[in-house]
Amino acid sequence: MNHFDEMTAFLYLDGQLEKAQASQLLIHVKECGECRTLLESLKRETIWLEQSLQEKDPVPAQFMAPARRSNVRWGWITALGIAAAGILTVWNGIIEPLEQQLNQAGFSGGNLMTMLFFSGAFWKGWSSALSFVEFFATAVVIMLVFVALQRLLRRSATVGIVLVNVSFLGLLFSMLLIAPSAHASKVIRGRHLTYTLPAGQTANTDLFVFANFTRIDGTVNGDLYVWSNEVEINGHVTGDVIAFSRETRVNGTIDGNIRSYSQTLNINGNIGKNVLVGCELFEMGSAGKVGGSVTLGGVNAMIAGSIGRDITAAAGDATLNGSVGGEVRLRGDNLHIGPDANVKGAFSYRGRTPASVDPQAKLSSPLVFTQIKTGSDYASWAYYRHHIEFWAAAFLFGLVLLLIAPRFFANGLRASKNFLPSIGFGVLFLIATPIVAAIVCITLVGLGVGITTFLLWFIAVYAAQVFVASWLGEILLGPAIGTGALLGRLALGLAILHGLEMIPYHIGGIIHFIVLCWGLGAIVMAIFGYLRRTTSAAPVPVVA
Amino acid sequence: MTTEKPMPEELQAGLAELVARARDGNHDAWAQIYTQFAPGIFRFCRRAMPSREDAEDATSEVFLKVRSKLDQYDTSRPFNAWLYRVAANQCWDLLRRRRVRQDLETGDIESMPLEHADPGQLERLISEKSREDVRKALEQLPSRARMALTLRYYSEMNYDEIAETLGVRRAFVGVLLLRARHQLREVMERGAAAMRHSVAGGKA
Repeated sequence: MNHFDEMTAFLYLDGQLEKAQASQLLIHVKECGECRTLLESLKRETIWLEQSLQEKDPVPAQFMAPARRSNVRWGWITALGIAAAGILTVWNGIIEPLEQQLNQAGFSGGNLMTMLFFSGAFWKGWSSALSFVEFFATAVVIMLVFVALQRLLRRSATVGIVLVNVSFLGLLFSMLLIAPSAHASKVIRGRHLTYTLPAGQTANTDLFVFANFTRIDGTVNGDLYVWSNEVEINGHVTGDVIAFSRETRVNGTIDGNIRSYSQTLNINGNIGKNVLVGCELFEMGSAGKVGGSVTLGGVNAMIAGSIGRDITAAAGDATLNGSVGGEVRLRGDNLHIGPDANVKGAFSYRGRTPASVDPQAKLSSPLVFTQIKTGSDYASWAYYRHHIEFWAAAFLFGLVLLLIAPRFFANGLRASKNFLPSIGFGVLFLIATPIVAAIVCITLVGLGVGITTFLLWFIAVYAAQVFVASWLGEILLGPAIGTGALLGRLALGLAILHGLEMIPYHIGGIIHFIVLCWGLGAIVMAIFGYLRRTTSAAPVPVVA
Repeated sequence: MTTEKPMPEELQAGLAELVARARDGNHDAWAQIYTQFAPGIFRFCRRAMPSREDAEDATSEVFLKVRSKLDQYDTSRPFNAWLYRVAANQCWDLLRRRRVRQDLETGDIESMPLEHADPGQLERLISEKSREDVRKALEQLPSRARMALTLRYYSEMNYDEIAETLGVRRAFVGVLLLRARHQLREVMERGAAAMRHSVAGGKA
């Protein structure tokens, strides 16, 4: 009789053979030593596998100890209470003032999203781009991209979410930037190009200029968007000016707003509406005139000329020597108010040193000066209230994160247990990410991605404390089982961290920095760990 | 899990009461259940998943799921069998979500010829390799092979239960198990790379 193959022997041992076949096998085995050996070896292998797999090897502590009281109820009640406080804080402390400031800066419109995306000077194409067909086509393209990305990235949810968001925002930004070109517009590009719109000439379009040096002597009958090393506007722009440049000089007239992100912005001309500027040096000469308000963040600001409405500014050194129709709100290190200053509204200044005010200066209401103190004011109740509010806001953030991405939360929490690698990664990403994002921003296509990277980086930096706090909470209360328990630990951990950060003599600051790096590193490691595990989950590709 | 070692009756009764109390929201009862089963479930997940991190995640998720599904548990059936079923489904779900091309494996393995067993080699492996070596080798196997071995030799599930958990035909379970054992031998003998090669070659 023929030998049995291994499969038959195996099925026999597992009791899976028909009776007839099994007895045939038994008869054969009695006679055949070879098949007997095979049968015995397989049997021994089965026992060997059972013993190996069932061996009671060590188990992590969290699965050995009984789950601590999970405090679901108080966890959730605390969660709701603190979350409400957090929402209030975020709203009162960040969104509302921001909205007010931006409103004053000329971004009208009610809610934040509309304000950020649609009512600024960036969006001019509504009327034309939003014709139904265009909108429909755009929506379909976006949806297709979404579906494709989702399919492609279903494997790795985390990267997927990040990439989908990045691309969505990228798309949105490109839409915002491209849409005006659906409007009548003209794009001028060139790396070493000097672009000049000569005097007497009129461009009856929105103008996009990418050039080394840009000079507008003629008239732009629309908006001017310019990416340039140097920009000089001597002529007339009837719309808004958006400028990214090293140096921008305005000697001519702009009927709309100017929004400039430049190293130096020099205004000696006439701006019809508002000025929004982020720069190193803001210089407004005595011939300069701004119809609306000026909002600026910079190192040095020298303001002469006349401003129709308010000034809101944060600057290291500021000199004011012109007339202001509205209020002045300033924050900085030093302020000098010159003899030609004439401020109609209230004047508040928060700074390190008191302002030096020329006796000739005309201030319709007395200057309200608030000294910025180095260090913390431990005697004031507001100081502690602030810390409690920040604690609540951080908790709210953690709550949302936990509910939206529980798995990511768990991974981050686990990664935070590897203290040293976390800190290492954290320091690296803390420094490297903004640099990379800034580089990406330089290219037009990368602008959306760059800005999104910045946003994600900010979120990650803020989220850092959540992971460290949860880790701390678990150290003190034991591993959490369930969301309620985890929230309790998060609340406790955050409270302790905020307490520690109040320690004076820079110790609190150092702790804050360590927590930031540590948590950020944990986030990075959680993402990397997830990627690594996802890719290594397939050790044996079947199709070579 | 018909082959599961039977639990003494009084323990079984105690467990039923514990489960009933846990269902009513008694925290101590739940803590006792957790203490009693978490190590075993973790070991199960450790065998079934490719890494320790995955196993920790899976274990936590199993208990979250069990807790929320406690109402659905049919008290007339053994609790631990149900628990392991939940764990098996959870792990298999997690692995499947990663789309490791299991869909392709079925046909390939079914049609793949099994090389002839070498009892000498088997005996040598059994005497030379430690139990830990076996568990380490298990990590290197494809998800479904690893899962099948775990269900059979850790949870002691029968063929029907394995077929149902893995979503394969019952007749295919034997092939799956024996093929997995071959792959395990191969990994222990020559390392994961060699097996990858042989599986790829076997397919061609």
